[in-house]
Amino acid sequence: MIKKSKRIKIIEELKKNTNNAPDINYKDFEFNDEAITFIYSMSVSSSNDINDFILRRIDEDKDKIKSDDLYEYVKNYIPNNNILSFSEEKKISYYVMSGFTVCVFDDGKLLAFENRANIYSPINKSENEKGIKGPSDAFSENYQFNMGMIRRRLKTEKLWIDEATVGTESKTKVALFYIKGVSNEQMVKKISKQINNINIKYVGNTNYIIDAISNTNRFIFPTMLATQRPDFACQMLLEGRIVLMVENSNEVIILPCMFIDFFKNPEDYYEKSLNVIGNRIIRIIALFLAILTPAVYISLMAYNQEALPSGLLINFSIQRDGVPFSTVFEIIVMSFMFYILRESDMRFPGKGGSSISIVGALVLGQAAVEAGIVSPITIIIVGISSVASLAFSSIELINSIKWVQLFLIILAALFGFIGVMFGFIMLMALLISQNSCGKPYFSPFEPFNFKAQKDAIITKKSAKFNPDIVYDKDDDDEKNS
Amino acid sequence: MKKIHKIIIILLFIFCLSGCYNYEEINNYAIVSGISIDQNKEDNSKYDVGIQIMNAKKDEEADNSLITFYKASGNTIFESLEKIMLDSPKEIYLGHNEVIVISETLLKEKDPLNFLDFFMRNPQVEKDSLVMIAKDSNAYEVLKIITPLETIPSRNLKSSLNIADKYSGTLTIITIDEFISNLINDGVEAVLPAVTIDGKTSSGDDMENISESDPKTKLKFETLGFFQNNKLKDYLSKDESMGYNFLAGTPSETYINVKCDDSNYASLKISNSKLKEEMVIKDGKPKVSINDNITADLAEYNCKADFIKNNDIIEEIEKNASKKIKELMNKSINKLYVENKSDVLKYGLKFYQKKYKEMEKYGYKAEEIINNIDFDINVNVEINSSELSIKSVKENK
Repeated sequence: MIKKSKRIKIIEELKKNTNNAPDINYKDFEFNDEAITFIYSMSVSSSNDINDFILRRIDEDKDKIKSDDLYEYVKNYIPNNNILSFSEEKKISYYVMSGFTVCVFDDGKLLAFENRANIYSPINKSENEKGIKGPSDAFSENYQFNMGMIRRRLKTEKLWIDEATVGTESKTKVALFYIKGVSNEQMVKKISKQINNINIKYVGNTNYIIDAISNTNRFIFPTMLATQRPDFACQMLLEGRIVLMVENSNEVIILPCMFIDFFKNPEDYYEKSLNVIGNRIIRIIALFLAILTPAVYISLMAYNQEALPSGLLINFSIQRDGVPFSTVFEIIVMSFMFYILRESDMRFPGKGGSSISIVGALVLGQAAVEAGIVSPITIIIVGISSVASLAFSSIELINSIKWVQLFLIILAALFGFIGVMFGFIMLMALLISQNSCGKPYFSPFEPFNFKAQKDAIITKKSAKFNPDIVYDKDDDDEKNS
Repeated sequence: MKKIHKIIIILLFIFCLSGCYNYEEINNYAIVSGISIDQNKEDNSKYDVGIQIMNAKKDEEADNSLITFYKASGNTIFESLEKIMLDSPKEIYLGHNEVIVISETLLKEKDPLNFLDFFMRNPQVEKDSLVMIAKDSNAYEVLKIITPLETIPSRNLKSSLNIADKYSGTLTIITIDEFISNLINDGVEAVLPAVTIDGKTSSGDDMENISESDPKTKLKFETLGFFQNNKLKDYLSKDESMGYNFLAGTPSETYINVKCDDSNYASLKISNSKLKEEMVIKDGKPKVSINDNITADLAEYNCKADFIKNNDIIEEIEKNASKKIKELMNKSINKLYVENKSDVLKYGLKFYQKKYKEMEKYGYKAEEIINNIDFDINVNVEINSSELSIKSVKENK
């Protein structure tokens, strides 16, 4: 009687804690003088698996089983790839919610069988980071698939994975991937410690982890690189970086990351290095154009006209003739219009987006110029800077460029070229002073690392596995001390 | 928070440096591209200043000219410009001025330093503006001539002077700051290119002038005007100005004609000139030895010859060319240093810079040293290539 009451007590406790959740099922089996209960969730576990491999099996073999070795029988004869024996009663709900079937015995022994249902989206093509060449599979929301995608690419035993659970309510798994012997161990330790110290309720996406472990949120540029592409993640792992994978999230975080990494594309490693150098230079020029064009244009139009060639000056002057607003106002208004267009284009569901672009192009571009509200050059300038700002695959970088643009526009409007210069110096100071997981953000340019230049602007296939970016002198010093 | 304080302090600093005080939209400016300076006919102490504005007008009204002229007179250049400002609806902007045309009569009567101060003092004025003399006419008239190839007159003046300087070898480009420093320095006299109106003056500023295929009025750059004691003295002839350019080491891509038989000529195109000057004061007598190594291409040869077989022919041409260039140089030295005592080639300054001790010893001053200066000229022409042919066309006969 004492034995029975323990099983029933556990079940009653669970029912009370979950408020008798409708999707949690309790299935009792009674033998001669013993009974067991299977607890499973209908929503996250596969009912077929439970029926075929657990319930039917028990039902068919009911007579053969002797009550003495019931526990041994269930443990050994039920076909399942992942049978866990545990004793903490508190863990029952976690296993049930994770898609396990938990078997409770009279003496309070507990067994869990994995019957996870496949309720994840399948492996898709990467949508945010498009590429012409190379593998096109992307991380999905399935934690195990994601892990598999990395394992499949790096079959080495040196790929080590540390797992932790984050989120007091969501209990999300977070895995830390690194290559033993290549990654900096101290950094791995530091990051695992940081992850274990996270105290949040819910982990919705990788960004929750990024926000929780980055030291400051005031820095507008992203200090962690999130990618959807497993090939890129493996590439980065081999360079000695750490990859953070979060359950239910379709991207992984790469740590530490430098500013130059936002100019890299997975595709870069599948093409001829010489051509890639050209692409990277174009991306860097695009950054400069995105940040500087509106500010420089304002300084030229309002303060430093002597810096323009005379032909261009007359041209600009003729174009601006009759426009009632100041250049600064024009630029700011048109930039805002572009951002509003972009936002509505992104948020509008389905095919409606293209009609917004047409309205934007026609109404805000052509018609505004013909009506004499803005000058055509303003449209060109805003066009150049906004197209250039979209040349990057990282949405975080694109969003941060917006702030820099506005900051420099205001400085240009107040101080002309001196202001732009000052703003640019401040921006550089900000970038150089920053760090990502203790690594200088502007490396390998500042501090200058000659060896790492091979995978900065210049790419060399041979330099792909060069751990210089992560390993530098400081690490060795730290280790020795 | 301390960081923010620092940033605010730096922002205050740059506010003091620049601030919004010179915020001016580009379309509020009247962009001046040319300035003319004449002497007022009634009052000799007044200047007539004309400006040419590249007006901001939209292209659809293409019939209207893109340029507008304003003219006013005053005791200073600044006063005249201020008067113009009252007439024009926009602020005058001198930052992109291209040419400054000064009339011949004014330069002959007055030291240009009396009225050029404004151009150095005003921070806005383009210091690279080209200065030229309006020869035989009013400076304002020159500024107003419209020609078909370049409808903006000052642009036309600037680019034709650039082309003339590059290919004719008789001209030289002088910017306003060069001109003024030549006037200020001891031992240097100024030199300026001169522009003349070729044809009727009255039709030149008409838009009809550009609709004709053979415009009645054109502008011509021919000679250089040289100064003595900061006043325009005279003009150099074509040969003399060519000699001047060889002496100054700036012959550009000019040509030299050499006789190769009784009636036919050969042309040499100068490609490079290495000029070496040496200043010597020997027994109290200053002497300049000039060594000019010129390389040239044979551009045309109208006599009968086969260069490969006969090397003497090339040597003969080289010798004749050297002689000719030396002649040109001598002509120009004769005109400048013997007849007019005008130290356009800066020898006074060069002596002062290099032989200061000797000059002190003999009591020479920079501006006086040219009075009894000697020249020793040595020209060596070398023909680099005969371009596509290695013999004359006549040789094939």
